[in-house]
Parts: sequence; structure tokens; C-alpha cells
Amino acid sequence: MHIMEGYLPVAHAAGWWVVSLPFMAAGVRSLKRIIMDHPSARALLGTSSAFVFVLSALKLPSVTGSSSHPTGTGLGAILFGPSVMAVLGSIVLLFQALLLAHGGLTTLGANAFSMAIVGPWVAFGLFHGLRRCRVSFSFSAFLATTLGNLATYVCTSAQLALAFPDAASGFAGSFVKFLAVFAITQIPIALAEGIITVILLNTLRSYNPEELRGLDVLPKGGLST
Amino acid sequence: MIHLIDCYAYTSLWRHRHPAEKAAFAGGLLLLSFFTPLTGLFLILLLVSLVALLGARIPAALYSRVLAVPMAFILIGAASLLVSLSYHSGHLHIGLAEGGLKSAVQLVARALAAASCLIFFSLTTPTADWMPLLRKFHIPAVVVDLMLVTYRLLFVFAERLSTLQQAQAARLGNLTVRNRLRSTGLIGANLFIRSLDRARRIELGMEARCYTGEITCLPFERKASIPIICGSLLLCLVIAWIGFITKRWPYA
Repeated sequence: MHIMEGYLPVAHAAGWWVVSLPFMAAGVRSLKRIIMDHPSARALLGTSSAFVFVLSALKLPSVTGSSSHPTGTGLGAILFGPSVMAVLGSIVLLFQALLLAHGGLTTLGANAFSMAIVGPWVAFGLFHGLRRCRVSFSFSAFLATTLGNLATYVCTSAQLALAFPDAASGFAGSFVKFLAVFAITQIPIALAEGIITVILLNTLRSYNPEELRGLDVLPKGGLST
Repeated sequence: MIHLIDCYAYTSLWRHRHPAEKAAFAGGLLLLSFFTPLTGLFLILLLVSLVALLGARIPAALYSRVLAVPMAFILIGAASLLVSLSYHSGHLHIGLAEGGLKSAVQLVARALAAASCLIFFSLTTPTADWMPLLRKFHIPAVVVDLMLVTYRLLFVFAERLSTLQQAQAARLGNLTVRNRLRSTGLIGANLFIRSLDRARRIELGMEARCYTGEITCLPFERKASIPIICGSLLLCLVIAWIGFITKRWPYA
């Protein structure tokens, strides 16, 4: 769920940029380290961000008929690690704003926070946490990407509610309002994204396990299949 | 959809204007849209649309189609500003928000004005023109390189995606919801395997061409025109001034 250009008041747009920038800077640092250690990872990183972009252009079967699509960032975090996703996700958001008129430049900070930082960290944390608790591969991948997507949606609703508190009940009322309005599209999308990611990862696991092990070039991002 | 904006930008009448000129015009007005009341917002929307349609000769059908993309989100979000929720002594109250209409109109106008600025820029400036200029803003070379590779591959993958989807549709892969979910997952997996392969070949190709860690592009041939940039900024000041003197108008 992208916040469109010009949607947030100036203090919020700038504030979310300030919040997101340290994460992006940390991401750039780990990018530089990866490329110094493995120069061949450079093209892989470029292809991964293009992959996330195209994944987010996949149309999903949706109930409401609106254009619903996965974020792809949960899968990206499982494959490549969340700190790199902060940069890859921001690049994807920039291209979505300029090439698809979806999202915006001034709201990029806010969108990056919900989609390139919160979503990936939730998905990554859940996936590895659940795996450590010996939950099955498929179920942890499903929960991680579904809840990662939902975390993005809850975060965006909170951002909107902070910017536009309800006249009578303030932040809480507005938060409930935005959650309710977008739930119709977002909850089915989150479930669909979870299911699709499981199918995707299982296909990769059965046909190309060596590709997933090869991803160990990226720190912490590798799958231990 | 992914080709819609990009393909047009390369053939745009104003493609050969320096990106900085277009950025000064669109970016100045975009920033101004945060600070100006309703009158200023309408002026921005009107002005940018006129310049886009009459100056840069963007076809009206294309311009309105792209401008319609963010509309669903803008209207849903604005509609929820009209309604107010509150919770008193065990009862949930739903009613019209005080001053909700004014803030909703303000929000829609600001989002439209800002979106028109962004769309004007992206329809007249191809990505390949502005991306190398990012180095001047001290964006790390690693990031700019990554963006160049990403941009190149977006279209390769988009094409591959549509081939995969066509193949699945031809085999009735989207017949039921269950099938569609499975098909979409398979497409993702297939795309991923192929993109890894692609990455390996790009890496080889770049290395064979003596890639040293930075993709260098030819600089933009023309210099940015100072009068146009100053003119754009002056225009922003004029609109800001009009917004300021009309601030007290009852509906501004």
C-alpha cells in the first residue's frame, strides 16, 4: 500500500525521511561490504531489485477487483536479508513512483519505512524465529510473508492516522478508520502473498536448491535448506 | 503499464531540455504545494497541466490516464477524513467529522497538484537522463550503479513476465482461484531462477568489458538554461504570493 505523492503534510513527509535515512545508510554500508567481499554479487543485487519490482507488478486474484499486488519485500528479506532490502526496496519504490505513478518522492521516506524497513524486518525475524522453533519450512515462510505484508499495512495506516487524526477521537479513532478502510483489499492480498511465496520457495527448493544455497554470498540472507 | 510512461518519455517533445530545468519547474511547484492554500493548489494543478498539454504536447488521454492511477487511493483516504469515529460510554459513534469536508478537499487538491508535478517530470524526462545526475548529489556510486542495472532489467523481466503469463493463460492456468495462486507462485519461482542466470551473465559481460566498479555515462550534451530555471523559481514565488494574499478567502 503506497502513500501517494503530496498526501502527507510537510512535517510528516520530512519526518519519515529522517526516520528512514539511517536504515538506508546502514543498508548502503552493508551493500558496500558485500560488494567488496564478493564483487560478483553486484549484478545479483541489481537483478534482485528488478525481481522485487516485477513481483510487485504481479496481479493477484482479488476479491474487490481493485489492482492488488504483493509487496515482494517479505520474500526479498528472506532471500537477501533485511538490511540490504532497505536499499533495494527504496530503489523499487523510486521506480514505482516515477515509472508507474504509484507512490511519490516526498512520501518515499514514509513508504520506505513501512515497505522496505518494517515489512522486511518482520518477515525476516519471523521466518528465522519460527525456523529456530522447528516450525516447518512452508508454514514459517507463509506466516512470515503474510504477517510481513500485514505489518506494512498496519504501519501505513498508523502513518496516515498520525498525519490525519480524527476530529473527535484523535489518533486511535483515525487508526481504526484507516485500518478498516484498507482491510478489504489488504487482508486478502496478505494471505495470497503468503500462499504464493510458499509455492515459490518450495518450487525453488525442489528444483534449484543449489541456487538458494548460493545466496549465502549475502550475509545472513542465505536460506539453510 | 510499465512501458506507458517510459516509452513516452523518450519521444517527448521536451526530452532534450536539460533535466535540471524540468526538475526546477516541477520540483519547485511540488514543494510549494505543501505550503500553499487551496487557491495556490488549483493554480499549480492548472499551470502544470497546461504546460504539460500545451507546452510539452503530452496527449491529454495519456496525461489523464496516468493522473488517474493514484485517484483510488486519494479518494478512499479522503473519504475517511469525512467520517469521524468516537467511543463514548460503551457506544461507538459514527458521524460526519467537524471540518472534514474542508480538510478532505484540501487533501485531494494537494495530492492532485503534487501528482501532476511528478507526472509532468516523468513523462518528459527518461530515467536514463536523470539517473547519472544523481552522482552530483553525492548519492553513492554503488547505489547509482545498482539503479542503472535495476532499470535495465525491469523491462527484460517485465517482458519475460508477460510471456510466462501468456503461456499459463493459454494452458488454462488461471481457471480457478486455486490455480491462479499456484500459477503465480510458479511464475515467481521461474522468474527468480532465470534472473539469477541473467545476473551471472551480466556480471561476465561487464567483467569482459573492463568494468571497474563504476558505470560511466556520457554527460548531458546541453547546459541547463539559467533563465528557465530562474523563471521557474520566480513562478513559484508568484504562486506563493497569490496563495498568501488569498489565504483569508472563506473557502481557501
